[in-house]
Amino acid sequence: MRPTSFPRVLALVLISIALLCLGALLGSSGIVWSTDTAIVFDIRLPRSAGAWLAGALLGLAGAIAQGVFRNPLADPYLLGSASGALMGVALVLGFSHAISDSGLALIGLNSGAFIGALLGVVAALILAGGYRSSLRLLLSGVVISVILGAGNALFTFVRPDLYQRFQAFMLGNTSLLDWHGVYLMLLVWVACIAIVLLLSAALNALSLGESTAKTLGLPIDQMRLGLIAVLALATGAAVAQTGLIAFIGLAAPHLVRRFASGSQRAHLIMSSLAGGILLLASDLLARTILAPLELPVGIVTAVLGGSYLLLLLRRQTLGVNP
Amino acid sequence: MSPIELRNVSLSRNYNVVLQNIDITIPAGEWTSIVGPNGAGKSTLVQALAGLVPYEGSIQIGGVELRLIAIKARAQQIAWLEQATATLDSLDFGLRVYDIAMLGRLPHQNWLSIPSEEDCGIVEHAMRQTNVWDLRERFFNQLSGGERQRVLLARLFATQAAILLMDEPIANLDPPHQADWLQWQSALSTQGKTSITVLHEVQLALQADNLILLGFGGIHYQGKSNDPLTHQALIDLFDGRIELAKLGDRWVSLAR
Repeated sequence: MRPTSFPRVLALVLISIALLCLGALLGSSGIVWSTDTAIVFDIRLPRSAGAWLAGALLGLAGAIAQGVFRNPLADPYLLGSASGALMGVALVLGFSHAISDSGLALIGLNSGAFIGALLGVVAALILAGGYRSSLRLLLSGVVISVILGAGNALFTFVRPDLYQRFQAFMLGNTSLLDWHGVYLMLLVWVACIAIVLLLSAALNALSLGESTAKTLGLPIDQMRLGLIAVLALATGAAVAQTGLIAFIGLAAPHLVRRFASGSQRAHLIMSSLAGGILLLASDLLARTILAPLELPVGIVTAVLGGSYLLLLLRRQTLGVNP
Repeated sequence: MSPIELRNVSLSRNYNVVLQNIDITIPAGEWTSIVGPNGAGKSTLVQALAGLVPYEGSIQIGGVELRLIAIKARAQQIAWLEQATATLDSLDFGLRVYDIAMLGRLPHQNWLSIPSEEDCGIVEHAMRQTNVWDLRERFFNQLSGGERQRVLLARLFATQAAILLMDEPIANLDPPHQADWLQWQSALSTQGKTSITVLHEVQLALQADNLILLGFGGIHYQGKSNDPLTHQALIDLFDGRIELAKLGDRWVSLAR
């Protein structure tokens, strides 16, 4: 990371903190310091922190996907990881009549989402015949997503009683976040960042093409598999808490690319911070646009992110134009 | 300083045998050029030396079998420059010129790959050598083909490897920079580097110390580049479609 990256990372951290404070203060009737500390500390703060963390996980996963597959349009939802995670959530919901305890249910949902995300990626890898061809991998990821999406639709069809609960996951929802989920995501986020910092040299090397990367003395194949595992872990943790949230993983890496000065390590960290800011800001919007009514945050990110993607495509700045 | 010895080596690509049972000795500290028609296996041979293509038989560098060298040690010892056409499309991400050149130091860095003072000095020197130091803050994907090639050459030189493999290193360079490249080659030779190049420009290949002529399926000839026998073999390799003439103290080739 270059010295110029530090003030930029710091700026992103400060924006995150400011948004977190705003999230804790912002109620359904505007910015009020609620005298009831329970509302601030047990509802608003975990929700804001959770939204930030889920966004940070998605932003990191997006930056990894774009770096590993050398494709500016790659995001966690390609590779079948997000739909795999949702499938895992669906299966856990379907078989968990007995589990009503919140702690156990949380672990169950998270494990389901993680295993689902990992299986989605592995299925995409097998279908693509390995991870060597980026194009085939992206295409098989799309195929897996379509198939798993059909499975998820089938699930809501055969279990209409769970339709409402499952719908929250399909739309992306931050209103159910509690401290358990926040701690879990924090743990996963710290672990993912640490692993990614160690493996980011592989992404730098890959920018010279696969063959040259292999002559630079790094175990490129193993490092790339490690990065894909981190991608699945981050996506699974985010999906288990908040459901399918679109475009954060795609938009965050693009927004910060020009600030990262070409350093992959700085880009990964900035993408993660930017993802957190994007999702938390979207959540604040979702809470205020139609207040006191609340929109599912997934709808807000889909509209904002979709418009942003459209803008990107029209301006054709998917590479880098400073 | 140790020569590269290939004994009974066979190379295949996509299950097709490209080169079969070849024996080559590449002298250390000299410039060797590989010449041959399209599809003769020149790039495959160089990639095998870089450890990118599996081989049958034995390739020894200073008496050590190539496939037994650890990848990090191999990367410090052998550097490879990819054919230019292959790298252009895959580079759609915003790395700056300086960061590209710094990648040449990757084999020498620890697991966090944070550049040391020494790395920075070596990279600056390599970039000044190939005349790209003034481009260092530019984005790589915004450069012209020739500028990119010079950046990639700086990346190659920054490895400070003893063996430099270059696959068509001058395909994108304009005539003045081709002349520069010839100077860099002689500088490499005085530093005692072993450089192995694949060249289509026969008159530039003739400036090398040694020539390896590849025909289909095997070695056509190998010898010193100023040897009349090598010249005759070169004319035969291209079915008499070229002729060689002496201009001053060096040989040039002309299509006929």
